[in-house]
Formats: sequence, C-alpha cells, structure tokens
Amino acid sequence: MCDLPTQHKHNVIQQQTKSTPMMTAKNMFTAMVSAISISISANAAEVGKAAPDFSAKDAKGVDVSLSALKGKVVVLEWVNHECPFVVKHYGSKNMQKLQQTYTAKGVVWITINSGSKASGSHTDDATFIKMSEEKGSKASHLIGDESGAIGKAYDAKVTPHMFVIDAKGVLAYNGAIDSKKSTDAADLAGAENYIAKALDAVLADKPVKTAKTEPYGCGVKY
Amino acid sequence: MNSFTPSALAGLALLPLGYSQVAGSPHEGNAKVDLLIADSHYQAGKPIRAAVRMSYDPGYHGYWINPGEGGMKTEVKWNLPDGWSASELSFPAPQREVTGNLSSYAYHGEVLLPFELTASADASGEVRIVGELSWLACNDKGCVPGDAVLSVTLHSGASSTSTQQEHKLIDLAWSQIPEKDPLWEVNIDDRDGSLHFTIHAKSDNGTTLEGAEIFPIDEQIIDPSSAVLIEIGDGVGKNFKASAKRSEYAPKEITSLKFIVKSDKLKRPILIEWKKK
Repeated sequence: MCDLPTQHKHNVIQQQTKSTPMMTAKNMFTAMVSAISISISANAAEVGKAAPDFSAKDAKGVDVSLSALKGKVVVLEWVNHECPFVVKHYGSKNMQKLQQTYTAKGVVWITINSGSKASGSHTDDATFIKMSEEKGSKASHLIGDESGAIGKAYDAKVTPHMFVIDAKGVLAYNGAIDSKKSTDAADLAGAENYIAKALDAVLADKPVKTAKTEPYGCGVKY
Repeated sequence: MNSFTPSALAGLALLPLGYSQVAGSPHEGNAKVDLLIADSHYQAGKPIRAAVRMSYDPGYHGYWINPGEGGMKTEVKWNLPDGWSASELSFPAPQREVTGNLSSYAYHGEVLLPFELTASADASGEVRIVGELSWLACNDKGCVPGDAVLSVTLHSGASSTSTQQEHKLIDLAWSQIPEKDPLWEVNIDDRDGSLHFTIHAKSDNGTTLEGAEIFPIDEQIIDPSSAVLIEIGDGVGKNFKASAKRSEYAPKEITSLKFIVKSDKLKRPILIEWKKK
C-alpha cells in the first residue's frame, strides 16, 4: 500500500473561450459561470477547438495542468476498474500496451476517475495507485476527479471514454477506444483502434480521419 | 391483446413445460437464461421455432438491438451441425432507460428473443445445438457481463407432442416482434438539428398513433436522451407527426432509418424502414 495523503483536491477547469470563434449564448453563460466557479458545458470539448484547460493534483500529489503540457500530445482516459468494458481493455493488456507505446513516443497519458463518493465509484488516491499498479498501467498521471469537474468539462460519458489533445492544445479526438462495442477481449482482433490511429496521425502532424465516435462503456458515475 | 406485458409473460412462464425442450438455465450476469425449442424433433430442411428467454434480476436491465448510450446488445454465437442455420435473434420493443447520465433502450424482468433454427436438407439422427449467449445487465451502480452456453439435443422425425406450453411462449415471443404494416407512409425531414417525422395512414381503419413512441433500430441517428412521442399531425386524413433530436454522431446526410413504433393501442409494434427519395 502506498501511504500517500488522500487530500481533497481542487480541480480547476479553465474555459478557453478566447480561442472559440463562435460564442453561443450557452457558451457565454458557461464562461460567465466559470468566472466564479468550475465551468461545465456540454459543448466544452469540441474536436478542432481548444481543449478545456484544467489543473489538478494527481494521485501522487504532482501538479498537472493541461496548459502547461502544451507542446506535448495528451491522452485523457476515463476509467472505472469495475466496469466490464474497462476490464476488457485492461484484462487483455490492450490499454497498457497503448499507454506504453505512446508514452514512449512522448505522449502524456492521463487516466481519470470521475466517479463520485456518493456513487461508490470513487477510489482514494492510494487505492487508485494500487489498482493501477496491479494492472500494470503505464499512464503518466492518475487523477481522482471526485467532483466530476474535469469529466463534465469534457462531457466524459463512459468508461473508457478517450480524448486526444494535440501539441497545440486542440482536441483532436473524442470517442471510443475502438470500433467494437463489447466486453469480449476476443473482439479486439477485428476492431479498428481509433485511439492508435488518432495518435499516429497527431504525432505525424496529420489530420485525424475519424475524429469523433460514440464512446462505449459503463456510464461515468458522477 | 398481443402486446408485451410482463404479467402475460409471467403467467406463461409458470406453466408446465410439457414435452418440448428447455435447455440451459444458467444464472449469472444478473440474469437467468433459457433456450426454448418448440419441438424436440426436427424434419430435414424444415424450420423449428425457438426463443431465448432472459430474466433479468430485479433492479437490473438488459439491452435492445440498439442499446442506446452505453450498454450492449444481447448476442448469440451458434455452434450448429453442418448445413444447419439459425436466424438472428429478434427483439421486442424496449423501453427507454435513464441511468445516471446515459439514456438507453432496455428491458426489465423477462424478455423473449425468438429465432428460427433450420435443419439441413440431409439432416438425420440425433443432433446437438449449442449457442454461446453473451449479454450485459446493468443497474444504477454498475454493469455485469453475462455469458452462458445453451444447448439442446434434437431428434429426427415427426413430433409426437401435442399441447406444448413452449408453443404458447414462442407464439407470444413472435407476436411481440415489430412487423411491417403497409397501412403507413412515412417521410422524414432532416432540418434544424432534428428529424421531423410525418406518418400518414393510407386508409382510415381507426388506428391511431397518438401517444405512440418511436425507437430507432439504427444506432447513432437519433439522440436517445429524449423520448420520441407521436402526436396528431396536420392536414386532412390520418396524419401523425413526431420530432427527434439528431444524434451528435449522426452522419451529415441521413438517407435511411429503420425504426419501430410502439403503443399500447397497437396490436403489435410497427417496423418501418424509411429511405430518402
């Protein structure tokens, strides 16, 4: 067991409204709200636009800020290790292989649990680290987003829900890990791996062909 | 009335099972599953009616052919003797289910998924039918995947059985499956982020679709977060209308949509396959 402090974290979301050329009434409202509290907008995370900024302490107490990661490609992965769709990708080592392959290429991989305490899906930092280590996770950071602020800013719907942010801080992919909506690891073989393709494209400075897909998995338990 | 009601199913489920086959009955993945076969005997080249019966644990739900957000459709992979075939499972109308922030199309309690087995043209002797069923059962706390191997042995020759309760269950199963009805003409106008349905009865036989609900079989066309309810339409004659929010994952141009219309006022759900002209 890691004896890390389980301090309450204040995850801060910063709406990058300046870079949004078309500001709708809804977004304006969101921006106004963000001035006084955490902003939450269903349209906050749009492919081709600046990814919502956030800052948080990771499970090991390290400060993580998306804006400070500019220049690097970032993956956001929503997780709940009790979800059978997540079990499919961790049990088969598919997720860990992706993490290993792309962090070796300089990608920053952030695994986030937005489960609330009330839902029973929240894990304290020590447990989150232990579960991830047991599964051989190669993620760069683990973030316990118990308030759901980061999850809601990205409209993370399920576990696993995946996002790729390019080196300029622009959201390049939002959606499923792959094309086979199932809990069966045998389906990995015939599936189109959207995340690998998006990362390969972004790392080669090419457009992502399939940039938005419907994510599949268990609902994030906000 | 043939429309699906849990009480009708529950009543039949309690009946004795006679001579016909019930195979399986494992209980895992928060559901009990059975394979129902209408006849313990087959004739070469002829179809045999059958159904998968699923009974989800209280508080849990399973998924329709279009599971909506999250979820997973129930599927079966058959291991059949050479030359035998099995149709796809057919699904009765679901209900909308909202769990947390996800909207899905789901079933509670007991549901029957009928299908047909067809014997090979030269089938003979005793044959073993095996199917690997997989499903997902969820409640508001989480999801549990289920897998079960269903199997049954069939014999060649004419059936000698008579009043079989499986026949009633399998009849009930098929009576709940949406069916095309030439009475209805449909147009869908895709504008302003919504699909606008106009449904017209070619003749007035007294059937109303007012209050009926539309469920899309095709995935990622309609946003499942709102019910698509039919109301009285405009103009002369029997016209009905409904509007559905486009899915954020829908293609730029929608050229076809397969959907069903479910209502307590209908004998059975209507299957509609719309194509843009």
